[in-house]
Amino acid sequence: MGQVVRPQRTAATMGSILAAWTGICIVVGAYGSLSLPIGGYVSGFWPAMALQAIGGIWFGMWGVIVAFLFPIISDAIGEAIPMYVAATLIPANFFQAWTVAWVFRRFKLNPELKTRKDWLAWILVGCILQNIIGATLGTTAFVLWGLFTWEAQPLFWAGWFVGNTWPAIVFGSLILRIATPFVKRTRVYVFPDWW
Amino acid sequence: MSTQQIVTRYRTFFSYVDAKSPANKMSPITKIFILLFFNAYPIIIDNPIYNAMFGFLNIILMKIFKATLMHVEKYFKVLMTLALFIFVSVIFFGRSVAGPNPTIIANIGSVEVYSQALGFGVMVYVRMFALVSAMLLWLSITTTSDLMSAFEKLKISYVARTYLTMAFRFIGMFDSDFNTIQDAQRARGLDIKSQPLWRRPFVFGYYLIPLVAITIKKAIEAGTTMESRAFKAPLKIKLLQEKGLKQSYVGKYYWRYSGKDTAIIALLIIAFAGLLIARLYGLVANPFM
Repeated sequence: MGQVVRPQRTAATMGSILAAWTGICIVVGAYGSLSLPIGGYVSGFWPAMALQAIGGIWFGMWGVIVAFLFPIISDAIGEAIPMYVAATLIPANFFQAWTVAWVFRRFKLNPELKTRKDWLAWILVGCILQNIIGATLGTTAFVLWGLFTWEAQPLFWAGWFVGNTWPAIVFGSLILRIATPFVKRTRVYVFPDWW
Repeated sequence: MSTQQIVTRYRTFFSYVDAKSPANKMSPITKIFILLFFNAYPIIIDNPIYNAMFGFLNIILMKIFKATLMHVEKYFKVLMTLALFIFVSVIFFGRSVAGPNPTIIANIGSVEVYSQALGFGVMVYVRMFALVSAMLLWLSITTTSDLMSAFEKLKISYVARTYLTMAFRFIGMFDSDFNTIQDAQRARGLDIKSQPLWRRPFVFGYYLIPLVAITIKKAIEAGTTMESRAFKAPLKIKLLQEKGLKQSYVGKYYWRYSGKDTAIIALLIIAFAGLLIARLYGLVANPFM
């Protein structure tokens, strides 16, 4: 008694969450970027980052796929970022979702953020480390495209890092705490598996 | 009584195109070639004059293809912020792109402004203008059905195409849900647009959390509906189509191809090879550096 049996995951439900999560990330990414633009393609407020990180934790590789797939579509539709430029941001976006998803699985942490260890991993890895990696890879891609110079990189790196980190801390923590108990009862919740 | 003429238009990713537009006669696969070549051209070319000409050509093509420019113009504002982005970078932090013997043309306080860095900035900015206008052109003339039928011809699997189509469908759906949430919050006295710029991000959570709940609910409903309609596939997505599958409705009714498409594709391939050769011989270098 008391054991929760979740219905088996199917391609239809997981495909739907893949598509739906891509949709929400695009909408949130576009509205978020527009609310506090810094300049060019860097925003001082990018709440889609919170969804990128949460997607990796909740939906495993389905969430990670969304994390690097949706910016290509949202950047093209929202800001007309050319295809090849958007494609070079794939590594940055991949690590912004995969790293925390791996840490939570590797150390058997709880996405409901119940213990101090869960909180530490979420803040240090999910919000800070991921964005250090993402901002470094992303701004390096922009430097290689010539969009800004090596000397200007730290300035835009800081813009990327801050713009991604604080929405992840505020909204990511809130969503994980409030929504995880609800999402874990559904069949789209993949944690602690990857697929 | 006056008679009102109804003009049939098709919804593309960015705007609308007139039903009689030449873009609607073009094969979906030709549009994929246009995407690949038009995005590659500005990268191969360093000369800002050639890239500027290419950028304006894209805008002229949008007119020729009868794309509704009123929906596209707002995206050119991106180019204004991009200008700020690039020129602040090359003016204040331009040493690394100025070469070994830079020429100082001005001093802003203790900052030296180099002519080579400005030349580099012009090259990058005009390249971005060409790239953005190329992307706008493609997004203005391509419909979801075009993309799906092209993917089918390129042997992309039915499952991958279905998920991609759904993602595009969900964008519009969540966009409208987001507006509904905005209206609901406004009815409760919260209007994000009336907030000062610095406060907007802080109230964003009131929109984000309901949207996340709606997303998960809709995804589960969509998945259940698909299952009830006998959608079956392995959990690991196969990217390529299996042999012997029937042509889909979209593939059958939205696919078109004519001799003109062969001519356009051949022209694009020849132009691409020509550009690579021109680059090899330094014919498309930036004269301002």
